[in-house]
Amino acid sequence: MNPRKKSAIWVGVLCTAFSLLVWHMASWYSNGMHMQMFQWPDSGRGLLTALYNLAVMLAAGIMLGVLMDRIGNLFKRGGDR
Amino acid sequence: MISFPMIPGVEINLYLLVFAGLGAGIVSGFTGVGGGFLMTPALIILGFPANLAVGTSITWVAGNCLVGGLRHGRLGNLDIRLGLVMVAAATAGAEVGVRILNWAKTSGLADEGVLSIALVMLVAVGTYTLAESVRRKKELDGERKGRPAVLAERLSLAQRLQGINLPPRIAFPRAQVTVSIWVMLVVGFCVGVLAGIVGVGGGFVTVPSLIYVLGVPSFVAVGTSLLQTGFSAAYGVVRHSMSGNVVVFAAFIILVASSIGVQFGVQVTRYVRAVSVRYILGVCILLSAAGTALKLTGVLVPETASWSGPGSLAVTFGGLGLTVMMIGSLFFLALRKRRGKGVPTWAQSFLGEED
Repeated sequence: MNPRKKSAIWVGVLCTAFSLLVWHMASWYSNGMHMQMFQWPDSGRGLLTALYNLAVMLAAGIMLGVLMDRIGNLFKRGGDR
Repeated sequence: MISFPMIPGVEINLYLLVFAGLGAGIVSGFTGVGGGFLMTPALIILGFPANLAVGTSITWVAGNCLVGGLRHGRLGNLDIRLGLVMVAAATAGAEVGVRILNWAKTSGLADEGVLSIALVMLVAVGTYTLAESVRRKKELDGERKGRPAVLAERLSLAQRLQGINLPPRIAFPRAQVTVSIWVMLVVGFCVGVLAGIVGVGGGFVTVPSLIYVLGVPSFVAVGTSLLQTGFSAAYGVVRHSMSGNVVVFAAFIILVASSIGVQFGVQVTRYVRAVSVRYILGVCILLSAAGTALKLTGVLVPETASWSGPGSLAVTFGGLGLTVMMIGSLFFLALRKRRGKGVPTWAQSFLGEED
């Protein structure tokens, strides 16, 4: 499979996965779940809030990082230096 | 406008939030800073209370560093061993910093304390970085005109520190540095304390420290700083989340915007010389200091709020925009040079050679 086709598949998969993450974040924001989790440290569940925040940022960071890299591969002419 | 239930009664300008993320991402990808020193004052200016601005900013930094670090890693600008040593020290420092911030929050001094510390650090680091890069640019201008090359003064400090014979000494091949681990730990610890107090990952201190104190090549310092900043920011995320200081949806919005900016910023580094990274970093830090100074004025002297508040907004966001334009201009001029077209004389020393 040529590299461009591979990159295109990656872009498709990552866009789908990231869309799910965006939907999740928007729905928990609008239904008040984020606010509930924001108040969890007061009831001793702060670690769960911390792990959730970290997981969201890690997932988003990795997905966006790889997605941007693959999009770059779709358009570039030569290899990286 | 968007509202967050964690900040009751405050409407946040969504466009400015996205613009801040985009601009901070470009600067972050180009200079290797996490972007927290730009984002924390920006969030305070947009209406976030100081503790939420700090926690949200460092949460965004953690994600942003992953985006930029992955890209710099592909370009070979990452010394993982160096980054991990700095991480260990910075983590300890971040814990101390978070405790100091929480004490300030309970004492009602969070806004003044955070802004004051941020201001002092921004002015010190920005001034030194800009002065050194201006001096280096003059040397490069002279070399282009046929004057003999001059060894930059910054190397003497790095050489002295690398010469400290306090075992154990560790070699970092990618960074081309061999130095006592104690020097590394002190630098990393100080960076970590800043991360905890001010909500920055420490990149605006780490990058100049790696370059001027340890003698690491600029582009490797940029990439490695993102790795170290990301780890220390991740620890900060945990501590700030457990202290109720994080608006995660705001951090997510900013991250999406900044991820686009980071890619552009990283790409530009392939077209310019190392001195341009330090020059723009110095300018950016000083502009952020000016905005922070105005905000602090409004906090300390409430009667000045009518002009200090809008002034701070204008300087912070205007400064971010100016920095982004400078980076964009360098990219544009570098493309012109590669196509054999003329570029201004003042820009010659900033632009990289053909691949």
